[in-house]
Amino acid sequence: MYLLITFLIFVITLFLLAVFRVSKRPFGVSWVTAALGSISILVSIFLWQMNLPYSPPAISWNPADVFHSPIAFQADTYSWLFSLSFGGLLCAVLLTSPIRTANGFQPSSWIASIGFTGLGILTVLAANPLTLALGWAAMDFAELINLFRLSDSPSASRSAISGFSFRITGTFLAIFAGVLMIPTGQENSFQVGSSSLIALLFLFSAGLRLGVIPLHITLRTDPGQRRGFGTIIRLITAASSMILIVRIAETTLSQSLVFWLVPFVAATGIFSAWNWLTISGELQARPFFIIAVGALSIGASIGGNALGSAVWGVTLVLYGGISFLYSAHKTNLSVLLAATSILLIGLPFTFSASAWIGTLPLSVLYTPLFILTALLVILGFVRHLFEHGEIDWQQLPVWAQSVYPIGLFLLPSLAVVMSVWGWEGSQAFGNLFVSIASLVIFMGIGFLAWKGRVVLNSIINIKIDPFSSLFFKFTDAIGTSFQQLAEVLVALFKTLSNLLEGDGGLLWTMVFIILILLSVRGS
Amino acid sequence: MNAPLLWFILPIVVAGGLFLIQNDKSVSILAGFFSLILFSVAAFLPPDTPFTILTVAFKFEPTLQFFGRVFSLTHSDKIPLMYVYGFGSFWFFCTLAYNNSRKAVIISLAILGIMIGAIAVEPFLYSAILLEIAALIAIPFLVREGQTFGRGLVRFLINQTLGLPFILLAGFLLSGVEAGPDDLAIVLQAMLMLGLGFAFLLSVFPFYTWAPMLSEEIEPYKLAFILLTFPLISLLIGLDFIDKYAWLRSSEILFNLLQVVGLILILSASIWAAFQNHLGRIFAFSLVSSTGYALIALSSSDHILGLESFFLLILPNLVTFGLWSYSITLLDEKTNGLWKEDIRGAAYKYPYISAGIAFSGLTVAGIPLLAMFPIKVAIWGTLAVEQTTSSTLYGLAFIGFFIASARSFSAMLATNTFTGWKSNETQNQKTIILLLVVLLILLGLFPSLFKPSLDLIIEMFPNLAQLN
Repeated sequence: MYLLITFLIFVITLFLLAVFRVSKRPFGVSWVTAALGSISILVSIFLWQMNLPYSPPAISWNPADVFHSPIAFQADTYSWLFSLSFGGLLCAVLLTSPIRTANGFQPSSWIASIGFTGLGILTVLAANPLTLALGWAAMDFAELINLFRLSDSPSASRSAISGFSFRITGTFLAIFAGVLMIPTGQENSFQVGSSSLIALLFLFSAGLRLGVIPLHITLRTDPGQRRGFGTIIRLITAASSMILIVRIAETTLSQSLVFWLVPFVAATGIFSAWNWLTISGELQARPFFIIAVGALSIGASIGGNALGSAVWGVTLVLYGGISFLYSAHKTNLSVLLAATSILLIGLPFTFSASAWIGTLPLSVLYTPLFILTALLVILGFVRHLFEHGEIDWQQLPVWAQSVYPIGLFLLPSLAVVMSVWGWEGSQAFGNLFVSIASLVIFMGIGFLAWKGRVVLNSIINIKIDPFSSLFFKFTDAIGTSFQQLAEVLVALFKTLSNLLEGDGGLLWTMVFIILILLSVRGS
Repeated sequence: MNAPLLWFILPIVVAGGLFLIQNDKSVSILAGFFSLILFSVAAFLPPDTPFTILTVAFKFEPTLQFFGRVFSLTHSDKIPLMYVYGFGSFWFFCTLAYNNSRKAVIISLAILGIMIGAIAVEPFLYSAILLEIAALIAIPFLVREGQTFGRGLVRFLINQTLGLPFILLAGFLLSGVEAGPDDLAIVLQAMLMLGLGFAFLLSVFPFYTWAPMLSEEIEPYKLAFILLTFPLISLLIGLDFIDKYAWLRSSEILFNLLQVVGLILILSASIWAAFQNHLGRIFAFSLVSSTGYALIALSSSDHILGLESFFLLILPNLVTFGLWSYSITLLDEKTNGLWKEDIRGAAYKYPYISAGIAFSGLTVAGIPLLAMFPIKVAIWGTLAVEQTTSSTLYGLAFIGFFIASARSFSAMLATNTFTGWKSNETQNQKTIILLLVVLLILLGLFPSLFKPSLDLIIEMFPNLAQLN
């Protein structure tokens, strides 16, 4: 019922905005409608909690004996957490949009933001791999079309294709896993059971989409519209991939697999978090933020902590939202926003306390690495808050100066709300060791920043081009090798084609037939 | 009125009449409307079914004697009649966008009539002869204006012709099988002949080499016509065949063989497609793979499920390859070639055409939300229940087609002289491409849209369905 109300508000808001756009009503009317619509959406998502878990009737494709899975949705704690954070991000984007008027008001961007958020919510509500794949594909197509629309060079268009290819490959792995679940009769859920292969496929599927497994960044230059709709696209796409990691968190992966996987994920996390901290400009560093938080989420999932994995997903949306929407900087505002990062260090009874409950294999070795990743992510967040803003605060109209902070503070407020009314047992005590360790380091850095501003400034002033690093030179070399391999294969298949299509082609055909018949007979 | 006369003879006569009209567009429009009428009559007034028009009771008589042979179209032939003439109508209207299409339209209308004749003729042996006649008639249609016979065309003719003696020999042996069904040697010989005959007719691996060769010689829309009609009709004839002979339909080997042949076909086509530098060749490999998917669908041990999957594949195939051939033919006309070098930067000048090619390529690759996704995944699921290894191999084909699609789109995006996106297509072209893309998405979300009813399918192949 509440689910229906949410989507009804989505449809009504989109319809009204479309009508206003066609009838060329003043931008103010559209903005107020969009903002009110998004707030109503957020409130309605909050109300889902009164009826959780809830599964609306599935939509079956006919005939049912041919199509194994229906399109099905489920609202539970995890999908609620993600949906609420998406709703919050949408509100924040719309409330802060009046300050991003360098290219004039853009109602089309508001419509796109609302539509894309709706799609994201539908995706995280997916109850089976088929529905999830459909949601992902819809988001990927939307992103691809948006990137083409904004692309200003052939290389940008081609990197859009390359990013799309990685994500579609991830989607394909999820579909494959879903197909392998059919013989077990579990295709209508994410219940992996004892199959390590299916769990691995799911893990790689989400890892590929996030850029974590293997570590890759396809979109090195992020074209235009990067704060508002761009933020929605980037964060919601990434978070909707994380829902799969959350769903499989309770699966037991084979120990040998975990033994190989965890070091890679931990290394990816540290490398990306370090880049997030050191690259100047939060938008330039955004891909690394997503990968670093993605690695933390995967780490929690491997440790069997579904809630922890979800918490990192929510962190990505809420704190990523603050960082990427914060374009008009003001010192007081920066300090207050930086203070909210205390919610992320895993202190008891905060929403991030659940992030450290799981048990990683070789915990003594790997847990500190993940704690370090988390701290680098938090420090990066704080660092970017204190960089120079794009927009001069003084130039903003008074009403925008009031609405803008509301939009920004809505996001950490949601983190507080989630820890108070989040889920059963949301006020967790967490992992005391992690809390103390994080707090000590966090306080230490805070002290250094306060007493020795030089340290903070020296970090802020670091100018690193991560793509010139050894790692990216290595991945570029791999990319080039693949291109060369493709050229070799093209030449090989050209030779084979010439053989089959040449004058002796019919004879070669007969040879093939005999070989096939012999192999069939043999088997 | 007689059903074979209406759906078999009349199209050939009308095609002859269209030779008198010189205007390309008029021929396309007339052929399009004529096909649409035949489609509508098949849909609402199927053969051998009594109906009343203004108190006058009426029925299309099902049989026609012609040269001593019986042509029979009954109510169960409603589905092929609708598919053939529905596709014909769509295809003829699409030819409005192409230059010099008059000859192609006329000949293809005649081919459609002959195809229906091949379905209707009894005994079945004559189907192969009618298909051979259709292949021969197609020759002038498969030569580009102002050019001579290409090697691909010769190969096409050889393959279609080689199928004929095998089918005729199979028919000869079948009389022996009916007399002594326990004689395993004759059964095996008959099966081998039949298998080879249909292998040529269906253009399975490695008999499809003519398709990529032909794609370099002729306009893509002509290739699409040939590869969408010949294998489909051959498959329907083959199914009719399996349905008629108890020893054949109860053979487990046959269905295993269908699966193996289908898998080899889709895998080889997808791998070859992935490493091509010519858009037409990628298109050709994708087209031949559709027969492979159909064979895999039919190989299911649950025959009703197999038949349903087979019929669910047909419409997405027609729409996908319809869009692809439409877009690629337009691109061919505008760029004067479909090699990687010819199409560099085409996406910026012809974004709608490029989108048409990209969407249809992605549909063949089985990307979610697009027309072929639900049914390809459904077939995959059925395969996974029966054979894990086969299902893994089946999955690999998706990757091959996706690589092909991504590579071709990347080639269209590569350029040294970027001047921004600017559409150079006409309004009609944009509208048709957009409508077809929307249809692809609709079929991807609602795959049962326009699905033939199960009763009709069972009526077509009653014995096979009963085997469940």
